[in-house]
Amino acid sequence: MKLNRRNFISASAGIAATISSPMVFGASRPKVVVIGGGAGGATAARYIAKDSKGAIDVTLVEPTRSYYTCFFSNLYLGGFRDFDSIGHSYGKLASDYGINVVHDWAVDVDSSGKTVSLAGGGTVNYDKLILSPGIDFVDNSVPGWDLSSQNKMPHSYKAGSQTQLLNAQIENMRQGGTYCMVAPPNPYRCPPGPYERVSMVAHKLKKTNPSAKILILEPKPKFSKQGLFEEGWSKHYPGMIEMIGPEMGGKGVEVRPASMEVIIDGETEKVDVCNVIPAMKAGKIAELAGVTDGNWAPTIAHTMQSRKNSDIHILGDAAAQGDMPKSGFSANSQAKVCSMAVRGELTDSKVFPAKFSNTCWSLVDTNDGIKVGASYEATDEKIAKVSGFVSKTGEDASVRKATYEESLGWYAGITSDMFG
Amino acid sequence: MYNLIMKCLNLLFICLFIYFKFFIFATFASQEVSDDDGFEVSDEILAIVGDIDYGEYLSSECTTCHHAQGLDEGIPSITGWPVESFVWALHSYKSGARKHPIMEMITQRLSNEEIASLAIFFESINN
Ligand SMILES: Cc1cc2nc3c(=O)[nH]c(=O)nc-3n(C[C@H](O)[C@H](O)[C@H](O)COP(=O)(O)OP(=O)(O)OC[C@H]3O[C@@H](n4cnc5c(N)ncnc54)[C@H](O)[C@@H]3O)c2cc1C
Repeated sequence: MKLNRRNFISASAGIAATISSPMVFGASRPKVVVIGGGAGGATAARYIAKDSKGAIDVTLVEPTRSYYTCFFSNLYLGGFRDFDSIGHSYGKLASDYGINVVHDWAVDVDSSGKTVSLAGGGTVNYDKLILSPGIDFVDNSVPGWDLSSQNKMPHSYKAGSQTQLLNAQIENMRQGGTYCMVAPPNPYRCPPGPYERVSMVAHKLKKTNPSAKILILEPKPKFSKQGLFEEGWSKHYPGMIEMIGPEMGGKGVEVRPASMEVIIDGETEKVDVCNVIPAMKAGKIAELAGVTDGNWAPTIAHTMQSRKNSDIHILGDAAAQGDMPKSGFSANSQAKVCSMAVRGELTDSKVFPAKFSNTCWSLVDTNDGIKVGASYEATDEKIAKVSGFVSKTGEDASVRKATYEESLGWYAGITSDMFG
Repeated sequence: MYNLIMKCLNLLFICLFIYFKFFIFATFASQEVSDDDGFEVSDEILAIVGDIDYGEYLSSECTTCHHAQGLDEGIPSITGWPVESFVWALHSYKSGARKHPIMEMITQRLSNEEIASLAIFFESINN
């Protein structure tokens, strides 16, 4: 069945709200469909709707009614945020920006007919499609683990119930137990994420379970802000955190969820909580849309257009774009370049040169914040790094506190930039 | 007589300008000790009139962190500032007189015209 706007609304119980746009446009309004209402997709939908002032019909397809940010989900594990504070609804995107928010899964893209099929059975048409589906996991990257074991051994790398589950497991761990993290190989979302998580778990355990141990099984020879994290760990959590690097068996780990065992270099070890963060790839819908090459979807830096289909744009974690890390900040930054390019094509609005930037803050312990960031430009080949900075080891406590406070401001800023 | 009035006005203007600098210094919290007390922006730079549309596009880089409705928790509000104060503040980062790794990085790739465009756009946002 082809849906028009009217029967789509009555057919789908999943629509949060629809309002008529501020201006009256005919049925000829160009249509943009955004798949995924996260850091990239929500920002793109909002900017296109806001800046086109009703001239573009924007539909956002997102299955969840509340988006829980991965950013600050580690702070929830550390007890610095409550769970509700990292959840956001799509209400304002519908009511204040006239975006047609459809709570459903996109299950296929027909790029010649320019339609998206939804799990609920309908289809939506587009002139331009924006994909920001985030990540999925690579099958078999950790032998013994698959999605059916995510309740025994959570990844908590998509926020929501997985985050709450890991939190409960850590809180219920026996005294003196071991929390084990199977860290991901490159490339993955949020390069400092696993290590901020270790810091936050340590912060919690230090208070509630001080004899507990943290074991990191690390497949990479080095990771983001490593010196800063290691400095913080020995200062705040001495003796608690052990890391097994790639050459000592941290690479190629196997797990047995049923018996809560990890196999490191042939040796079996029993652990109490096992946080498996597998290798990642672009969200499945990118593959179904035919825009991936290997695990990720290559893009043109100037516009965030797919290199395989000029009517599809790809944002955030799913994109193979060049030098930017896979972060919420990056996805948000790319969304703005994409929105400008899409409006330029559909309504002839002014197009300015693309600019990108990113900063990732991490919390090591109370008032001990660190950050890394860079600015980027679009070249014909990729998004290329221009310059960057990183916090220094041995920094003054007042600088670290200001850095943490800055991250709180950033969280308020980016979430209002995404959701209005 | 006319000369005297002009001199007084001039003096008043200078006082106001200095006052503004302190105002900015106090609100635009910086996390490292900055040496921007004597920082001056040339008349040519202050005379540039920005393009508000361009400023609106460029502003999206700011609003990832600086709350668009002017909240100032942890990161200062940048909405509703007088153009001159805004231009002065960004140039103080661009020149390195005022320290902040993110602000120095961002402003170093903004041209004088882009700074003027951002200033005129953010001045227009009143919350
Ligand atoms: C523990 C952790 C900490 C992090 N901390 C930070 C941080 O401090 N700062 C930072 O900048 N980044 C951080 N990140 C990274 C950040 O969360 C991601 O990079 C960012 O969310 C990517 O945005 P996105 O739009 O690509 O994907 P997402 O934000 O994941 O959004 C994807 C959306 O698409 C939806 N979707 C997927 N498939 C479909 C489909 N078929 N149909 C419809 N909808 C679909 C999903 O439901 C989801 O809502 C962190 C990540 C983790 C895991």
